[in-house]
Parts: sequence; C-alpha cells; structure tokens
Amino acid sequence: MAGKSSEEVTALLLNWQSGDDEDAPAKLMPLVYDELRRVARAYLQHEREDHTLQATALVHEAYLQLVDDKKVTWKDRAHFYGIAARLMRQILMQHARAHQAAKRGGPAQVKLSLEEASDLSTDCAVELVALDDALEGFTKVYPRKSKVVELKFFGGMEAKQISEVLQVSEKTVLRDWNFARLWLSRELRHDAA
Amino acid sequence: MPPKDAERLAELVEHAFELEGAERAAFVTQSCGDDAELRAEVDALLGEQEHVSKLMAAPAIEFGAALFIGDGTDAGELPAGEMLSDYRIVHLLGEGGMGEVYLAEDTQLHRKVAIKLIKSGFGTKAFVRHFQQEERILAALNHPNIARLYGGAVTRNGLPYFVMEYVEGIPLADHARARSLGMDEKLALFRKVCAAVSYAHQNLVLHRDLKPANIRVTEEGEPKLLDFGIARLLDPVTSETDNLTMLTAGVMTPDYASPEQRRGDRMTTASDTYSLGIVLYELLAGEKPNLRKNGQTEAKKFGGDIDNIISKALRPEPERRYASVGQFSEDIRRYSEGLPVIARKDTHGYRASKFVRRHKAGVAAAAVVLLALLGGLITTTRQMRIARQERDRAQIAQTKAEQARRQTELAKKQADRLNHFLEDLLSSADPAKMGKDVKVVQVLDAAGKSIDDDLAKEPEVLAQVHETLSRAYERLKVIPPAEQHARAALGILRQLHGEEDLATAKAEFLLGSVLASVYQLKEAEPLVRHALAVERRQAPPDAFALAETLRVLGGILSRDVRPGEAAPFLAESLALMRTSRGEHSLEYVQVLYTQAHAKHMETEVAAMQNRKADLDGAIAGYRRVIELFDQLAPSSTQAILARVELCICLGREQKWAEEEQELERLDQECRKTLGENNAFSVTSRGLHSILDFIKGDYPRVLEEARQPLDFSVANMPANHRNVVQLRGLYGLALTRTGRAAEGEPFLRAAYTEGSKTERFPFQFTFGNVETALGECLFAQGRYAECESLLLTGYDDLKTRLGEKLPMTVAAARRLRELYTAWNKPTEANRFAVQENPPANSSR
Repeated sequence: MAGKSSEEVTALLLNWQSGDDEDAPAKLMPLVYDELRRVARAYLQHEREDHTLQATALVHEAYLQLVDDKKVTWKDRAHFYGIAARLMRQILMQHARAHQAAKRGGPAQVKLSLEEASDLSTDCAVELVALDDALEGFTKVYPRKSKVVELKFFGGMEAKQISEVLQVSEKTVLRDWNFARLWLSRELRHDAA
Repeated sequence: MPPKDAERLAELVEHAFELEGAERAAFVTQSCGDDAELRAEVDALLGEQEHVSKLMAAPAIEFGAALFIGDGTDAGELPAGEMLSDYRIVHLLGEGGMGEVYLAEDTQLHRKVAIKLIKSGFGTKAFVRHFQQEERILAALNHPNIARLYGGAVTRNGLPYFVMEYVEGIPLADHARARSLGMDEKLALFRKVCAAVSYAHQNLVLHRDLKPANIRVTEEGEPKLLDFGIARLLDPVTSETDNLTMLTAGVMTPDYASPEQRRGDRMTTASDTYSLGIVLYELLAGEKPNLRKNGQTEAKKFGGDIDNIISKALRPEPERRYASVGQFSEDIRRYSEGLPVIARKDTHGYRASKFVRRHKAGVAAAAVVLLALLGGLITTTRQMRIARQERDRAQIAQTKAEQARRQTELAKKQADRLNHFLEDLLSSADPAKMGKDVKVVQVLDAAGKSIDDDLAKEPEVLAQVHETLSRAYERLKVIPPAEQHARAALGILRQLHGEEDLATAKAEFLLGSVLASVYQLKEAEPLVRHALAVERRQAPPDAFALAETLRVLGGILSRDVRPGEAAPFLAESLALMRTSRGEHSLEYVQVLYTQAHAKHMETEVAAMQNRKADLDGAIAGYRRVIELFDQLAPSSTQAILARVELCICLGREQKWAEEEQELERLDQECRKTLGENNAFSVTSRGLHSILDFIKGDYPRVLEEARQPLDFSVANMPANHRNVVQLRGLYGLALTRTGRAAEGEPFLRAAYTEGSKTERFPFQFTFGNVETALGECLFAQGRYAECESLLLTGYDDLKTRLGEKLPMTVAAARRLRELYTAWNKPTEANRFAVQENPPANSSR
C-alpha cells in the first residue's frame, strides 16, 4: 500500500543507488521525515496504554508507505533505513530539546503544575539530551561506531540489517555496539558526577 | 586523543570484553605493557560493564515515547479515584464538544472543583504556551457571578485540563421554569448576568460562548457564569490577536453565535452582547428566537420597548448593537422602571466615549493626538484673544482695527479648522466605518486622508496638522506615514518661511528624528544639524529645544557608530537639560539613555577594529536608565527601548540567564504598554528566538522567529545586521529540522546581504553566516559547494573571536563532519585535533 510520495521516494532511492542524483539523500529527507512523524504519531495515539512503540515496525510502515518494494533492491532498503535512523534521531531529539527548553521558561505557577504532570517525559527528555550530547563526542572519535548506535538505538535496527547498511560483519556491529555502550556510559556518569 | 590511540583502545576493550576473569586480566596486562595511561583507560571502560545494562536497552522511540504524546485523542473516561495532580476524580459531570467535565476533589484545599478535560487534540506545547499567556488574565477574574478559574495543567498523557470552581446549580432556563419566574424576576436575574459579563469586558476578557447552559443558577438564586474565556484558550490562532477580538468561531455553539462570529470575523464585546440578546429572548419566551437570514429577529414578540431592546442587542451589524453590555443592562433597568429606553433612537452621542472605552490599548496614544490638537487649538485661541484685545485698544485707529479684525478672523478660521479636524478624528473613529478593531493608526490614516484638500487654503494650519500627525505616528512607531507627514510639513514651511526660519527648523528636526528612528541616518544628520544651527541663532536661546536637538543629533551619530563625535553633543545636551528640565525629568533621562547607547557603540567600534571591548559600561548605563525610567514613567516606550538594548548587550556578553530574565520583563512591558504588534515586541521576540536557538529549540524558533523576521525585512535595510542575523537564524533552524532546502534561500539572502555589511556587532561576524550556509549545503549533501564556505567561515571566526570560542569550535566540528562524510579522513583529522586537544580527550 504505497502512499502518494511512494513513486518519488522510490525514484530517488534508485537514482541515488545508480549515482544519477547526488542530492537524493537531501531530497529524501523531508519526505521521509514527514512520513515518519505521521506514522509515529499515529502509533503513539493508538498505543498510548503502555507507552511503547516498535521502532522497527514504525520505520517499516513508513518504508511501506513511501517505497515501492518491488522496484528496489535490499541495498536501497538499507539506505532508506539509514536515513530513517538519522531522522528518528532528529525528530526525537527535537522533541526532547524542545521539551527541556519549554520546562525552563514560563511563569513559575504553571511550570509547577506541569512538572507534576509530566515527570515521565521530563526524565526521558533529560536523559535523551545527555545521551545525544555524549554521542556527539563519541562520533568525533569513533564515527562508524557511532553510526551503529544511531541505527540500532534510534533506528531500532537489528545487527544484521546494520551490517548490511554499513557493509561490515555482524560481529563488528556487535563489538561496536558493546564498546559504544561502555564508552557512553562512562561519559554520562562522568557528566552526572 | 590521536585517532590511532583511539582505535587501539577500542580494539583492546572490544577484545577484552569478550573474555572473562583471569583470562581478561592477563590479556589486558599483556596488551598494555608499560603504557599505564592506556591500561587505566581500558580498565575504566571495562569497569563500566556493571552500569550499562539499562543504557539504550530499548530503542530510543520506545524510551522517548512519552515525548510524542500530547496530540491526544480519546483515552476513555477517567475512573473515580484517579488523581490529576492534587485532584481526585469523583465522577463525570458531562460531555461536550471539547471534552469532558468531571467533579473532582482538591485534596489540598479540600473543596470540590470542576475539571474540564480537553480532548480536541492539539499539542501540549502549544497549549501550555497559550495557556500561560491567558491564565493570568482569566484567573484574575474575581466576580461573585463568575465561576473562578483556578488553574490548568496537562495530564500525564498530555491532555490539557482546567480546574474551575464547581457550581452547584441548574441551567438558567431550568431555573426559570422550576421557579415559575415572572418577567420582572427574569429581568433582574438577567441583569446580574450582564453585570458579570460587563465586569469581564472591563478586564478585557470576552466570554465568546454565552448560552443558557453556561449560566447556572444556585439554590440561592445567584447566577454563575461558567467557562469565561475558555473558548479563546482553546483557540491557539488567536494568541497573536487582540484581547478583545477573536479570529475564528472555534468552538462556539452556533445557536447563540453572532453573525460576525459565524462568519469567522473578529469578535468583540458586541459579540457577547448578541449572545446575551438570544439568552434574554430564550429566557423570556422559553424558546430560541426565529432568526431571519440576516440574523435579525422577527419583530414584536413581547410588546413594548423590550422588543426594541432585544432587537437592538441582536442587530446583525455589531456597531448598531448596544455600545456595551452595561448599556444593554441599563436599558433593561430603564424599561423595568418605565423610563424611556435608548433602544428607540439610533444615537450618535456615544461615539467618542465608546471609542475610548473600547480601545483602551490605543487610548493612551489617542490621548496624545488629542492633546496635541487641543494644544494647537489653545494656541490659536490665544492668538484670537490677543487680536481682540488689540482691536479693543485700537478702536480709534481704523486701519489698525481692520488689521486686527482680519487677524481675528484668520485665528478663528484656524480654530474652526482644528475644531472640525478634531471632530472628524473622533467620528472617523466610529467603528461602524472601519470594522471593529479600530486602532489609533487607522484613525490617523482616515484623518490624514482629507487634510490636504480640507486645509489647502490655510497652509500654516495644514503644516501644523501634518506635524501633529507625524508626531502621533512616530509615538506609535508607525514610521512611513510619520515620515510622509513630516516631509509635507517641512515642504509647506520651507515655501512659506524659507530655510532659516525657526518653524522650518522645527519641521526639519521632526523629519530628522523620524528618519533617525529607522536608521536613515545619512539624510537625518544634515537636517538635524541645520535645525541646530538655526536654533543656536535664536536670542534668547530655548535651552530645552536646543537640548532636544543636541540629543537627537548625538543619537544619530551614535547609531551611525560614531560615538566619539556624539559625545560632546550629548554632554552639552545633558547640561542644558539639567538647567531647563532638572535631573528628575524624563527628558534628562532620555539624554542619559543616549549616552549609554554611545557607550554601547564604542564597543562596536572596538569590535570593528578587532579590539576586545567589554560592554560593562553600557550595561551599567542601561540599567541605571531603566531604573530612572521606571521611577519617572513606568512602562514607557523609552524604558522598553532601553530594555531592548540591555538585552542585546547581555546577549553579546553571552549572559544568557540574565538576558532571559530581562527578556521576560521586556515581554511583559511590551504587552502591557503597546499590545502585540509593534517594533519593540517584535524585537523582543527576535531576541527570544536567538535564545531559543542557543538552547536548541529549533521548532520554536521556526514558530516564533518568522514574524520578527518578516517585520525586520519589511522595515529595515536588507543588510541591517538584525535582518541578516534573523534570516540566518531562521534558515539554520530549518536546516536543523531536516528542511535544509527550505532554509537555503534564507541563508543565501543572509549571505548576499551580509557580505555588504561592514559592521557586525561584537561576537557576531560574517563567519557565522558563512558557516551557517555551509551547514545548510552540507545537510543537502552538496559537499563541494559547502567546503569553501565552511573554511572561510572558520577562518573568519578564528581570527575575530579566537580558536576557543564555542562558535569557532562548532565551525571546526562542521568541517570535520564534512570531511568525514566526504571520506577525506586526513582533512577531517586536521579539525578533529584542533577541536579536541589530546589533554581533554584522554579522560
């Protein structure tokens, strides 16, 4: 059930793959972004009860909406998932930072009642922002490993898919992931202390 | 840490991680050898193992799901006992279009409250911001016949709710039926409702959804109005519009909505009057009126004046209804007491007072205009009196008497003209002619249209009126017509009296000040300098006028970033002002302000010459001036201007916390004094956006910066630094929210215009603009294009600000990202090393 942007996205993916359009990633971004937001919102509205959401399912739905699966190869799909992960990160961090910023402003009275009402989201906003910052630092030293984190944590992808996207072995992906967690954990605890 | 070491560290840790116990220890010892530092790093990272179990255990979207929630849909009825903050839900009271109303108990204050849970999905953030704007006003409504709003918040699921006074009562119509109220009782009850609505109107709050269901009557027979102002709270569109107007019908119940409301036009107090008219009809008749297509009721129902009263409240044209709810109520009283009612005649007598009452925000400015006009009138009247005395004294000298008579006539004519003008001004303020939200500006526009024709034969008077209008516009900061009228006055006076006349000089001064206020300094300067020369020739000199001219000239030079030249003029101005007005005068503080501004500009000169300069002197100066303004003229535009400059200085010094505090104050003052749309509140919002940007709240930047940007683009030269900065900011915010292609035109414009700007303020250099455009192109994958921009931007930042400033560091990061993405590791490392000195990265 491909959506109306499907043709466009599929064509962009194909052109990108064939090297015909270097700007394809930039053109894909807004299309995928909108779709992801829409799907994420729809999911969250229906799954509010337990506040969970299957990231993979979400990206997959966006993918189905946007890409004509019959026309593209697994490689294109890998690219798509790579973009999606980056966007998921952007969307989520936007929310988290905006949430944090909103907390800091405004009259004290309202702020107080809001704080009581939304501890949950505040906590995870704070954690996400800290994590994102730490990840920035990590990216400087370990660009590929940080890509693994992005695909897995923000894109919700499995090691196998990640290995396809990054064209490394699955074992490397797992090693990268383990190392990244150690490194980030140290960074976060260091900052907190 | 050098990349090689980083790779080695990672390899060791990854390998060791897969080993356990003694095997791991042996491996680490063997691999690290004598390198104690490496050993410490490896151990520290492996030591993290016990902490990592929860880190990123679930995908971010699951973890962060709570952040997304807030665009709510139905979550089902709240069960009894459920807690919302301090409130315990008792049971559902009812459901409406917007959501559900619950009876709840305030566990802190042990009282019953009504909680209105809003389910018409809109985002938490939008609601919170909107609510913060309104809450103070609504919570301040304290009237025995209005149910109080205690507060509002957002549930854990992101649904907004209001906490309101719980009213134990029955709907108005039920009450009337149950008690079989007679006509007089019904009218008395209705007048209490009117009193409550009138009270709210005086506090600048419209109800917007008046209907019998929103009017409850208690056991004691007291009416209570529910949901005051709630409709507006739920309409984020209106947050930018006036307190007394509303753009859309929103959630209004159509049966009671006024025609303008149903059309989606602006709402005013007259819209509430209309709804009240329907409520009254229904109260008296027991059914809703049968409305014709145009909204007018079928005539004659109850007989007598009450029909006239209701149909006046229900006129389709808002301006033909009662001027206020108070007047409506008063007419009902007159009817009850058998007095003649005003509903009979369509009177014009209320226009002036109605205008003043309805447009409180603009009234201060209108008063200024009127005072100026009256001032002119008094002058001419005095001339007339002098002329008459002349005539009396010189009764014998026939020629002299004739001359005096002519003079009297002229003066009288002038007085008449001004008088008429004044009248026209007021009558053109009739909302009937211009829609409901007449602003003083519109009044002035209407008045200014015909003066050239009306006063063509009296150029002296015409010039005077032009000057008056120009000053009025200038006070309102509506510059184009201010300039136009000043030019007209100057043209006339030059023709009448020549260049060297004092009256001409005053017009020059006026035009010069107007132009200076929009930075047209090149034209302003010679005008004011010439006016100064003429004024200096006067004997005896008018110390105050001289001081004002000197101050304006100093201000022009200061704004032209020539603070050194400004200083002597300002010193002279200060001395003259001290003698003519004293130190406790606004005018004196104005000079102090200009001096602070000159100090501020000194730092810009320093920045241009790449010298470091601190703004402490200017900040202290502004703070002092603000303190004095607050004493002498609280909430004046001068005080606001000083606050704007103070915020700019604090921002430049990167004192964000202080700036945020000052901005909040500035916002309040702006809104209090000037309403929503004016240069100051726009500047203040622009400054806010810069802060939001620094905080990384890009969506909010996109929401809030657009208006200040459009305003600046429309009102300032394209290469003005504010325009460049706001364009850059907006474009970069788009880029950082994944809309780089949309952001590019803004950044291109900033880049093109910015390259024509010589003067960038301290801490904001062209390098910022280059780097921003580079980032935008990078985000679109146009690596080759962005490389040179990022490089020159980085160099500029490095030279002007130094290597360690956050902006320079960020620019280096962009370059590293570029080369990493471009697969040019050597270049990438060049910038990695600069950004991450080894000493810091090894921890």
